[in-house]
Amino acid sequence: MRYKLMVVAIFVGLSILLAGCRWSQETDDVAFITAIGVDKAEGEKIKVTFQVVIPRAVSSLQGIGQEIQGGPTMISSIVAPNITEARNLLATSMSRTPNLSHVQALLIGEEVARSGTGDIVSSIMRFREYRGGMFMVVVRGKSEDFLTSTKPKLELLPSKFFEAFGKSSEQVGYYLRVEVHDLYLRLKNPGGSAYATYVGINPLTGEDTPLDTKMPNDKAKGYLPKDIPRAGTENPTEFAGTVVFNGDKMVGAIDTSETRILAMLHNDLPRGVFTLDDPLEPQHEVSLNMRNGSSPKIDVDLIDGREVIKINVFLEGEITGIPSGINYEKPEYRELLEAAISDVVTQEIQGLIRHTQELGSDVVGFGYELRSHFATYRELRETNLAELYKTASVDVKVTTKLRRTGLMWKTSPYALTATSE
Amino acid sequence: MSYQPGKMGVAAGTAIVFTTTFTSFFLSVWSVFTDQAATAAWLVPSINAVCFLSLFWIVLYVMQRVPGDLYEVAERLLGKTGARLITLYFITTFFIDAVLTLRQFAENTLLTAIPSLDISLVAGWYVLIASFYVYLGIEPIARAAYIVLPVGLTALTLLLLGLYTKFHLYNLRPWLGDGLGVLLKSGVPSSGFYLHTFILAILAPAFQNLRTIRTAALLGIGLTTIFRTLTLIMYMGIFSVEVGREKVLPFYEMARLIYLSRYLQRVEAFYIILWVILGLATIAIDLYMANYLLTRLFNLQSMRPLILPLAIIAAQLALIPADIATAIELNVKADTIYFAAGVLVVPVVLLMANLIKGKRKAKSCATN
Repeated sequence: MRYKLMVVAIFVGLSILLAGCRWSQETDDVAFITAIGVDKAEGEKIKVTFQVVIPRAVSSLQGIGQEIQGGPTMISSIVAPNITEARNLLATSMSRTPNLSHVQALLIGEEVARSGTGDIVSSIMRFREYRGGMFMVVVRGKSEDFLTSTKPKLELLPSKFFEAFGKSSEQVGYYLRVEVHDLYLRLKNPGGSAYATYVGINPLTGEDTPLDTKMPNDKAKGYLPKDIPRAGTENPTEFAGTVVFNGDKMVGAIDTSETRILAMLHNDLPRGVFTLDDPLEPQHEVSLNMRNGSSPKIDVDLIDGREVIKINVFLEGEITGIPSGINYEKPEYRELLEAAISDVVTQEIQGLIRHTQELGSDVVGFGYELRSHFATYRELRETNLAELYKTASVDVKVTTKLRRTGLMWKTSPYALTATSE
Repeated sequence: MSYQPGKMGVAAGTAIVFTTTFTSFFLSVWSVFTDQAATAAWLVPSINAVCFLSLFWIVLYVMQRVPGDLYEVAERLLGKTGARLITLYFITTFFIDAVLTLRQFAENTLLTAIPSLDISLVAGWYVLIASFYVYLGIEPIARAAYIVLPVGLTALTLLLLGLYTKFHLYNLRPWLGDGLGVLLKSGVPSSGFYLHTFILAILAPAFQNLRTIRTAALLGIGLTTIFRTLTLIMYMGIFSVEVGREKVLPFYEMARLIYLSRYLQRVEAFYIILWVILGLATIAIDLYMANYLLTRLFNLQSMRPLILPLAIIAAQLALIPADIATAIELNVKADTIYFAAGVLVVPVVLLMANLIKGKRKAKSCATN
């Protein structure tokens, strides 16, 4: 019995010693990288920018220890033939071993995105330290500038900045949370085109430069990053719109309004405020908080070699503002409003599809619904779904039901005013 | 004699079958099924189960008519030479499985947890622990596996539920993949993955009666098939074919995708512990069976002197494949060719021998 206990004790002791302690690393021997940016450099090389966390600076911000100038992160840019070599070279400039297991975001400069992201993404999916849940982002400009300009005032932890942005994408639908895993699936599997979040650095001049994609009756304008009219002291970087790919190359971008429609078609719109012309008094606007009432019904058929798409969207909404004072809570007026919002959303869906057909990018993923039309997987693989999408015909039907009216159930008209002489 | 397997019931038998048949699912088997059967890969476990059970039932039918364990039945029907050949075959299958499982688990430990460690250290340490289990005997291993079983199944279920947001049903279409022919070509040979169920027949005296063995086999294979099918459905629904066929560690990759909130993420570390426990149990069971059959074959007094030498040989052989891709390919070939041959041939040979012997006996009785 004693012999058996001794053997067990030896094994337990050995297992502690042999569990990799020989090659263990303390947390203060490791440099944690929270974001990686990739830009084009001269020749065939790339410039890789690493955002490295300074743990002592994070503690000082929390009131522990001495204050460190420059903020909780440091930026290091390295020119190398690929991302792996860049990491190796980074280690030569730091006293700690770079660790990539906490990278929250992969940022690709627009120039690199337009020339092809396949090489970068495939090497990322292979290396064990990277995780597929990293935020996948394309920068309008250079990712090095984006990382250098990112100075969030609301977030203490640099890693939380990207994580929180990913979470808050659900609040408005003006940008989507796209992970590297999602992009990689779309690059490899037949059915839909890849897309990524679009970001940029706002000049903070307050200048209004919307895109010309505004729909009739829709008061809201569509923006791309850098174009939102804002000024102030907050972080200049912004997330707006979506980059669309054809294969692994960026071919264009859809703005904030179109991105919201994309979220809606993906049944991923928990909340989105639409502002449209008041149906009875067009000089005023009405704002409605809309969301998917049910999963959009998308039927895709192949008729005479042509893709035919039927979209049926059901939206539920809440009235959030009626400046005109008209009692839209009344059933007959409410129906007018429902018809108006349905009309706006129908046009926006058609606009999104037209735009993406021109770009040859099926970001909605209509091709996935076409998979059941193929007898075998080989047949599916050999069909060019992206080409089929370009000539697809679309029929859209939107139904809206306004369920809630905010804190008011009946709008009273404004008091009579004196006539001016 | 010291190699008597002890006394086991339905629970222990189920645990042995489930542990040895499901553990390969922590390796690269799913990628192989996906590569072969495309979107219909999730149907492969069901085809495996149907093929295997129909053949295993033949073995049980023969054992009903001829008492004893598989070795004794083979001896009565095929003679000493036939019995020894069958025993030799099973020794090699269990040993090959131990070697290849050991190599893959060692590689996977390096890939997921301790990349800087030397592989010989990992393989040596694993085989040492497995030898210790073998020394304790099959009954403690089975009972320990039975204790871990509900934890493992619960963890697996939580993993599947935690990934529901990433699942898309359209990734499973077209439903029949590349056609029924390709599906059967993939599903029938891979029923070799269930070969370990023969352990119940080999250790028959340890179980109360044939009904216990039958129940354990059904429960074990049933559980394995259900969970294999569900995990494959989830895997296909998340990764689809093109990405699914690339993964070395499909299970680990799925666990890495779990993100339920800021505080419920990065849970793959827990699953590593789970598959190491089940992997070690599988290696131990394989080594035990190889030892046990060697002892029976050469009519040795005890199997204990063989434990450590066999373990060392297994560790050495495990390091022979040059890389992980070779080890995976060898494992697939072993399961779909060598093991599948045994699954098909052994029951048929025993049945034929039983029928022929039965006819001769009836003839001789009639003559008398």
